[in-house]
Amino acid sequence: MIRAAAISLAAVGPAAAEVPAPIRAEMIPVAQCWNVGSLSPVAALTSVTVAFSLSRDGKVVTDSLKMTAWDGTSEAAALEAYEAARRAILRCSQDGFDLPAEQYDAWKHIEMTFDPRRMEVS
Amino acid sequence: MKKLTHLLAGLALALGITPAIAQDGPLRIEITEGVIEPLPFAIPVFIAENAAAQEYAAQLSQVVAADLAGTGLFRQISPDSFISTVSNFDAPVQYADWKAINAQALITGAVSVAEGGRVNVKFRLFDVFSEAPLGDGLQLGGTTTSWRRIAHKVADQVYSRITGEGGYFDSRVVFVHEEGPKNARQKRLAVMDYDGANVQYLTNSASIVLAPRFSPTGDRVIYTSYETGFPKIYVMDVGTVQRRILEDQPGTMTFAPRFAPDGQTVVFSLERGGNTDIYRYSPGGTTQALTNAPSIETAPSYSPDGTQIVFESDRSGTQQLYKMPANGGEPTRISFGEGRYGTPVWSPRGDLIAFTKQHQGRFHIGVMRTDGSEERLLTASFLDEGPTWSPNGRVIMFTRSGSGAGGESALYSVDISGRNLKRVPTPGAASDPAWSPLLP
Repeated sequence: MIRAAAISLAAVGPAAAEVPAPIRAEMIPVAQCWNVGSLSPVAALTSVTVAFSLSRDGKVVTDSLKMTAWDGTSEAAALEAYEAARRAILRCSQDGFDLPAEQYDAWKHIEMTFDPRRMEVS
Repeated sequence: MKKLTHLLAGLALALGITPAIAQDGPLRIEITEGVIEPLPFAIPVFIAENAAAQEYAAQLSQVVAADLAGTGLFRQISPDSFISTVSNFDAPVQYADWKAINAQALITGAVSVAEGGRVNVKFRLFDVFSEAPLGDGLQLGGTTTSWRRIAHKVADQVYSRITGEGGYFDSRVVFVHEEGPKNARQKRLAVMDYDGANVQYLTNSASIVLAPRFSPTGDRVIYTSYETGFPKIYVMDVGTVQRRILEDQPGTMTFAPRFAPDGQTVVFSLERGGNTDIYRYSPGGTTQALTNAPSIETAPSYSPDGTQIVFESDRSGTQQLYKMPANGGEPTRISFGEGRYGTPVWSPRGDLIAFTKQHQGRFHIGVMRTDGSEERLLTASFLDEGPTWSPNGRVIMFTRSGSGAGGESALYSVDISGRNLKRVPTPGAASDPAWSPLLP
């Protein structure tokens, strides 16, 4: 819905330039690097939220990575799940995410929640 | 590689939509899609720090690699693709070179052999994409004859640091070695490393032996032998191979023994006058019946906290699983699926019970919650039976037998996810595996 509204605004005139395309999740692709295969059964039932910052070239500021929340049965499992999430973010951001520089304020800080409980094998 | 897809299709990719300007707080994204693939790791041949270490360095790194890759959770990257070489244990890691070949974990090590035949191994584990060590470096030592154990301990450390759960490589398996045709099969007790190496025979083939089980400390084995002509329970010290009969009540048959977590109490089946019940042998030599029913009660297994016992019984008319307090008392049936259930074994984590299931002419190894819920079948074949848990509760080993007079028995293992089914190498036919705890 938001995306449709943006396109509509773009079509009506000069004001359209002030409404840039929204940042979409697929612009920050991490799922393809999130390997849940080595998670222990208990970690596979734990969701973790990881906060991190991006530099203007779309690369992760490594020191900024931190777990801000978790939901599961134990902190040990959360730390394990966090390590897998952290690896995913770092692997997929090696070359920097391709994000619009003019909207840096919109994506310089990310909070990403990894929830393996909501997945199924296809 | 299996791709995981979101239960709520379409939502995942849309969750990142957010106003681009005048945003308060961070951009929030939810990831509910991922992949299941073995984690790629690189393990350059460990550095031999002196001439005597040369022969061990390569073998140690091979065993570590085989342990990890054998879990199905890790994939070894071919050394042919390495860009960097590691010739100095303390040299800085060239992370870019390892990233370029997609190594997510890097294991480096060095080996030295001191005078007197002591092997010292030090290793480091690196998270390549984080460009940081994963835990501290560690040094392990032992005799040259125990180099495989040192390798298993290194692999256990790596496994544990990456997965967050305990390892299982430095462990042993006791089993029944079989020779000859099915109608005249000779059986011997044997122990081996979990991966089939270092087989040692504990008994000769003069009498049939069955169902060996390790004590909680791994130094003794309890088993059933027919050397008197009737099944009787024996306890053997694995180190000295000295054995003694546990319980000898004339006119009875005793079998299916298993140690309690205290390592002294034993629970077993006793047949008297055509009826089989479960009994407990306590330190001091007292024996007490825990069940008293006209049906057959057998295959008892303690919960890891020692408070409960799961067993099989045909009291309902078909073979099913029940659990009861460790001191006896009213059993509660926990299996309700179609088919017959047997040989239950409580997992070392305490959360699952593994079992054998027979249904529509096929045998399965499965797991269920301790209340019987969430039953999952992990295998299916002509005959799969007798599960045993790895020390960390992640893998199950069992016996698979072929059909017909020549059908051999072999040991197999499977991850509790149902993946990574594979045959465990043994010198011949084998059955009745029982996994030890992690070795000290």
